[in-house]
Amino acid sequence: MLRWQCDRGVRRVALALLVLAGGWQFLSGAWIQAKAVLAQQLIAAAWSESLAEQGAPVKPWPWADTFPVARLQAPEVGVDLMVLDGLSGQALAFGPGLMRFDQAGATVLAGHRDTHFRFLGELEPGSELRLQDELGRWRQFSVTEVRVADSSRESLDPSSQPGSLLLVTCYPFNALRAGGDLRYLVRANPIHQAEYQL
Amino acid sequence: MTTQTTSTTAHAFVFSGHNFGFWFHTLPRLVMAGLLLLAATAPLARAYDPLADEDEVRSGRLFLRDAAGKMVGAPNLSSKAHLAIAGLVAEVELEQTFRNDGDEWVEGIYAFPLPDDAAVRYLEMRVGERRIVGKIREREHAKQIYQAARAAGKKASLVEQQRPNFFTNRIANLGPGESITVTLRYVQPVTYEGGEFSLRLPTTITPRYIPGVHRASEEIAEEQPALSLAADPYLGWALPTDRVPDANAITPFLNPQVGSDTSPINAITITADLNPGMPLAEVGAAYHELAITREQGRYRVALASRRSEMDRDFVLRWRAVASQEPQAAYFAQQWEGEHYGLLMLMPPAVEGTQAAARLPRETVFVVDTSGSMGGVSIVQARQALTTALLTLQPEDAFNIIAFSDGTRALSSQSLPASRHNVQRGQEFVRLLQAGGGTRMLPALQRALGSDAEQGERLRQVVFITDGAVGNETELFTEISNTLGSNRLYTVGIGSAPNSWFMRKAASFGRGTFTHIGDISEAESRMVALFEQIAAPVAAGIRVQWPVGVQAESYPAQIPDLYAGQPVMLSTAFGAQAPAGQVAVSGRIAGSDWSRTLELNSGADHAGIASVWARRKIESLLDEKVTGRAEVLVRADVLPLALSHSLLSPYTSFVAVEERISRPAEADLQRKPVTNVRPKGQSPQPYAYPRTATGSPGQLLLGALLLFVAMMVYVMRREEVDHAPLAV
Repeated sequence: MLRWQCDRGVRRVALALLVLAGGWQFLSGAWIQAKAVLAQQLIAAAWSESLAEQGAPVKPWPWADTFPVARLQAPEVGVDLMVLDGLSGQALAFGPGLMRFDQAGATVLAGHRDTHFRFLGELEPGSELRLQDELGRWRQFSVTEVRVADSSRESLDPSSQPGSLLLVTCYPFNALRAGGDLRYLVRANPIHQAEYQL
Repeated sequence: MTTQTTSTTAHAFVFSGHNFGFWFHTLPRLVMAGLLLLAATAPLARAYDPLADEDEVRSGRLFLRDAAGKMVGAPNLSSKAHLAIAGLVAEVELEQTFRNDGDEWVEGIYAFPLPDDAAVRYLEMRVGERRIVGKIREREHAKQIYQAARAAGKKASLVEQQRPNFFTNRIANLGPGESITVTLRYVQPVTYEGGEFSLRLPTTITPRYIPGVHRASEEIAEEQPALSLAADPYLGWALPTDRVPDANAITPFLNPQVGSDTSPINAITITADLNPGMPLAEVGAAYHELAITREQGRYRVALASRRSEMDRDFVLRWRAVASQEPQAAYFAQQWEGEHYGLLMLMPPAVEGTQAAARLPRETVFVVDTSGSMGGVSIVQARQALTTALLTLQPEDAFNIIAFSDGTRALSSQSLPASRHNVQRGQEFVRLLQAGGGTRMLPALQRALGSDAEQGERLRQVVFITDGAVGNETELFTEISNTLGSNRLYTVGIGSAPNSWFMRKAASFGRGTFTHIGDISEAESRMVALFEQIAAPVAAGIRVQWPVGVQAESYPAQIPDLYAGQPVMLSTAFGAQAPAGQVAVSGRIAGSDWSRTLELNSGADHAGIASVWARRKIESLLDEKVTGRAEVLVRADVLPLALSHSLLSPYTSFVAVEERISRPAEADLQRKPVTNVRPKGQSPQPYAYPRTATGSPGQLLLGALLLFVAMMVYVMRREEVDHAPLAV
């Protein structure tokens, strides 16, 4: 039939378009995930180099516009992440970023909910977190607060609990689209040891 | 043929209609199933409700978890200040009462501000009815005494100086339900400028910006990395850096709550006994309501609401009746066989600033737009700048430099103050927003150094900031080294500015300092500042003591004085009481002047010796800025501070109760006593970052499209199957 003959050509084109578009979308989505995982390996190498040089910034690859500044671990959920300097989109693609601001405040780390900081949903008050600074010193934190903030109504307030660690990611975790207003906040306070030197 | 075709077409239509109808219903179902599968991989209902603990976290006190995971509170603080003012000297008694409402033994750590020129000379600890008088000791020694007492379970208090206006009080072994009161006494000269007397009592600390790179100084860091933070004796939120080696000591916690006068977090009661020695035209407080009673020329002052929140400076101001403004005064004290004096003398006022003599000037405004300026401070800064821009004359030049993390200027070069350029400046000011760090050094360098095309114009830098930095000395050094012929004027902004930074930066910058604590003051204070800058300066001031009088005076070199500033001189005379007339001379507006004053050692005036010693210590510490080695400075300061029993960077007060109160088996918890956020300071305004990629959406959309493609492919095969039927 004439109609079917026609349809076959259209269908072939449509099929090709669908495969192309679908493949493109799927691969670019997968690429984001792959980058997030693979880059961490390169950054880990840069981090050990940085530690060896007493905290000198080391770029994970020559054209990188950021460098690792800390290492974050959540032992209970088996997470080990290299934290990058700054919160630019380029940095966050490869790892959680350290927010730079007037230092009167908490240490603020932000990461993508669908890659590195997906595990935030598994943290509960009392969960342990460890942060290593560029001199290799580990600080231990215990999660004290988990809440959801509406970024259209409140701004980030790092000064409220100086000394604490604040992890920020988007919320809800399973939303499909980026750019929502809700943020998921995990606050952890340092664990001070009873024994210490003056 | 036509009908057949039609029927075949109809048949084909029905067939394909059936086929599409099937997919029309099935595809969404399949997609739906896929979506459900995706959704099911995530916890549908979160076991933990993130909002449940909010009330607990938001309640008034700072909670920290102890080792057992139980929440315990920090000691509760209430303060009481009494100011006894006689003439030009104030003796202040500040009581800090720490109460432990928890059920653990605690060590309280409280960082607190005092006036930057306070001579702290007495400490007393009160436990119930027992009073223990503190002793002044070398800093390390005092720390060891305190540590030993703490370990032994004795109650103790250690007060250390971190900055001239920043102190730490540590109280050991405060038992459950117990209170300890620590009383500090200090002497402070009254500020007299432009006919107005004032006295400032700071109550809280604006969080400081700590520049530099974290330092690996502690050997503990190598042995037990996880303990390095716990080793911090001050519980500060910042780690020491190469530029601020004591960062942990000057970064106390802020209470997350906003303070209020009706139910204060840290309450303070303030009373004053003002004996001005002259009839007054007005007495008032800048940022508090007062209740004042007067009897026989003395004023009793109290807060109208009795107590107030410790979230802003207390500033008491008074003015003499117009004709009776003091022109000269001399106060003397004999202390431990030595004679001390405090001399105040007003240079003659020049009648009317001659408009003809006004030199064209270049004014560079440097404005702090860091995060700590957020809230009322940036509004005050904008108002101050707006006012300042209006005082410019067309022959002047100006520029505006705004800094936080980076430095941004209105223009690369100073602009002529044409109407158009001033308009541009106003627009620049209107758009200033607070946020980011306080990288002050590059801004200062840019304002003082770089584009200095030194012409016939006077170059003046007006520096508008809250001074919330930890590297003050580094900045003083920079000012001192690069000042050249510039003049630096500081304008302190906000409810709790770093007054020490304001005063010393202006002093090294050979300018003046002004405070703006309220938006309503911004205009009048800025106008006064520019009038002061425009008026002739009293220069080349010399003091001629009577023959035979041995005098060691501070400041050793009297700086040029701006209109309304008096000569203020603290002097030690040794064992011989001075007698005769002292002559002060100088030049103002091109003519010489000289005034004399009788050194009559009348009634003994308390505190003059302490003021002198404090001035001398300040002068010695200033030598660090100009490059003298710290060890040498310390060697000079230490004996002086010990003999006058004054707090200094090298001496601390320590008080120890003899009785052992904490049982050996009870643990001691360390708790920081929080400061209240300066009034009107916004919680730092930072936008939340964008923390989601589109990758799940892309993955799903991609999967969906590939799925559709697969379906279409399947259909194509069906079509092949059905093709004969269609023909």
